[in-house]
Amino acid sequence: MFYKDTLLKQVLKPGRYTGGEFNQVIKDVNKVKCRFCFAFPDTYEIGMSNLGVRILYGALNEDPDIYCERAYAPWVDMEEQLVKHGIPLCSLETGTPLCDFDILGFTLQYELCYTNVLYMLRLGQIPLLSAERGEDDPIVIGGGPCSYNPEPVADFFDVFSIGEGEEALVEFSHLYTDMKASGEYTRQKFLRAAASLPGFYVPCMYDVDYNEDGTIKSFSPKYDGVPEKITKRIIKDFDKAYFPTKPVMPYIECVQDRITVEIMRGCIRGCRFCQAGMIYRPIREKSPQTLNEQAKQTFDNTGYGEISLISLSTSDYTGLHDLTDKLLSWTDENMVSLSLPSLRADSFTDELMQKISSVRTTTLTFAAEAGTQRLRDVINKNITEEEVLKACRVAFAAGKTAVKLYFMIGHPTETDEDIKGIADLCKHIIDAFYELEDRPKGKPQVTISVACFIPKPFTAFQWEGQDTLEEFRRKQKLLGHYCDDRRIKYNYHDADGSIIEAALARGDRKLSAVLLEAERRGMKFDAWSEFFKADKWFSLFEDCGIDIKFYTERKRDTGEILPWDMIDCGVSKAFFKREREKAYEGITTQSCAEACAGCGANRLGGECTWCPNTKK
Amino acid sequence: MVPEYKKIRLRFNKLGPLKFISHLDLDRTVKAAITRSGVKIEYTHGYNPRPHLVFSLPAALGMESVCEFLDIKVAGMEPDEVRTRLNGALPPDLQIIEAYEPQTDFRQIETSSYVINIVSPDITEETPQRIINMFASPVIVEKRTKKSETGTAPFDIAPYVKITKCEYDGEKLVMNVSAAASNSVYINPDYIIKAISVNLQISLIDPQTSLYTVLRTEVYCQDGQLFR
Repeated sequence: MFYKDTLLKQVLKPGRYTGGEFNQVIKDVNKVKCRFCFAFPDTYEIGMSNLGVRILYGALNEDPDIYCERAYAPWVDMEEQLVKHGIPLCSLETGTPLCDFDILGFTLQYELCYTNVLYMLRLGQIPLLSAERGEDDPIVIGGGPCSYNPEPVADFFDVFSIGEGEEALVEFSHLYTDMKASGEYTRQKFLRAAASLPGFYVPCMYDVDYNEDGTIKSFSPKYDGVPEKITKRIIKDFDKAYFPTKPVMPYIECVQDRITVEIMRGCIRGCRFCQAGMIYRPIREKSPQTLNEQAKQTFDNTGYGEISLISLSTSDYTGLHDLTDKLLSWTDENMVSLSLPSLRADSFTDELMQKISSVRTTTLTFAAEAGTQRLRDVINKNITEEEVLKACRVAFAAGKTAVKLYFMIGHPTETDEDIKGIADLCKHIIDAFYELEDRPKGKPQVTISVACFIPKPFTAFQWEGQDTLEEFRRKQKLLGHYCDDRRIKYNYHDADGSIIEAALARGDRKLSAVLLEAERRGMKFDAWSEFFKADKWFSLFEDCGIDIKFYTERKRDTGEILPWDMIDCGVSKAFFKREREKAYEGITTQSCAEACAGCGANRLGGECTWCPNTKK
Repeated sequence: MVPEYKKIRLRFNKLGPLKFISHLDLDRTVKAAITRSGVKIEYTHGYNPRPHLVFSLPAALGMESVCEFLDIKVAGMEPDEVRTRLNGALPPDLQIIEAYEPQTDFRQIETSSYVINIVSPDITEETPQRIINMFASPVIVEKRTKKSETGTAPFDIAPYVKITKCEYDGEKLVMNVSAAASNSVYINPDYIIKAISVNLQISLIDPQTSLYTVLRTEVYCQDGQLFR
């Protein structure tokens, strides 16, 4: 505990700031060569739930020369205390101010956390702009899914790690210690060297020119040896990838506080709106044997009572039955329950249902994403109404009365007929309940959670215009009108958050000025509904002289230079163009398990599960 | 075959950063440690079976303690082995001091004793006597209550607080206090500190210059005997 008692007694949940958790890593700071701080730009409870952070924290600390610590965004009551008393934001392990670290790493999980990055830099007493940092300031590095379009936050980061960081960040830290040891380190020289490390993007090493209409005219490296394209890093042998079996256990309750094992990276499905399904390709699986051992070791080291098998689409994991059998051989007697999030409706069977209900079960949730077959074909969801109904019947027959479905509105080509289709599908599920002879007692409940479509970089829809705010609201209201059955529970979020997210997701470097002004205006915790103020955002863009619709509603030409074109995520632009054309024709693409669609990710190599040229 | 479970009381301390975790968080922390330790304890028999833990009088948030109590039911293991095993799995600031078969019931608890330390630039040589004088008359605080609409009600804590030591050593004020901790009246020592701070104008806000800590040292029964 490094913050004084007096201070902690004046804030909510002081357990967020004390550190000292079970399994935290303690090293002698005088015996390490690189002090790394992993910063999560949201609260402790959210950051501690993130598996990526756990993996990287563990992977960096495996190296005796590196000491990786943690920091989270303090809640506003703590901010008030820190500012009032001039105390910097500190790491949890040793209470070191963020400004005293060698390297400060931010994970960028969602666009609305960008304001929190600046908030943490300010509280950590680090200059916000990369260009204003001096020799004694930490190197600020970003990573995570949002770094696939790092441009809106390019001015605040010295460097970005593109792709999977387990190996890359260790190499990066060693480049730092080597240059420090040889005495050749200067900030500029280090960044220049980092730019030529595979998988690292250093924004200040590139020039951007714009056309009069605001689109990008050219994007080019400033110096020789700085690559034009940055290819993302992947772990080639995923089965042997580092996995943290001794995770730090939070004392206070967190969002996810359980054993999580990552069974597979990538997704075979290729939904056309989904960024994660593209940027984590090629698909790599861990063997059931490895996963079972990792789960058991984590259980022995933590004593958690729940194991969650996570991936983008758990039921597509080829060794699922083998793995669940292996796990169930020891979980039941130890009172450990299994949870399988991200199940696809078309693979949900009786057998699977019984396995997850053998200890206890939670509500079953399926993603249908669109209401009609036509639109599901456009987005390549590859799931039929009958498959959804079948999955619901399995759930009902097992004694459940409630199911939950995810949908999105605002997909390209969507019509009002598709909106009505969402409500119709719900009604068919209710009918299916009553048609079932061995249905449980009571009334069925279908909960639908309806999100607004956000076009994301590295998807087939990356060129699409987003619906206007008015159009989203009209569609939301229309769907409410069609959901006229009390057994349907209709949830949706206000659309303006999705619009801001869309602007930041496909933004360019010009948005750094907007974010800087946002910080100046005290904006933070924008992923939290109690802090997010749409009006503030809209007037912010206006005051900065930036038309938000340029980023949201504008349909891009496929020939336009996109802000994220310098990143190579493995999947080729030609593939996205083909997928986009097929979407417009309503033609689906088979999953990787059925046929190779030639996305291009297999050229990154590795022990891929499905890719024809690299398959074991 | 249903194993025979025996009730064991664990006396443990809660120090350092753990003083900032709530009762619910403590419950989860201890459950996980019991699982890690391999000590087999009785589970509840409901739809969601969970380890059956009964804490008595958990220390309030922000308070350190060397006398926390937890009852568990264990099959086929002696108290000493339970203690050794659990201590191997528990964090260093949460260690079991004693494990034994309980001789008293939680409902017999009457008072707790505390050591309170206060550091503030406003404390002087006269402060100890002023505190003693202050508690010789009624000391009204806004005490939390479920009965009142506002959630608090005025309450005189003086009859329920006994100050056995109150000294100033030039740096900090040290008090030994015994306060009611029964089912009907429980005085959180924070009320005592707050009352002192307000009535004697001792500022406890600035983290650079002020500090107060509370350590619970012992729990007593109605007959004045130690709770065991």
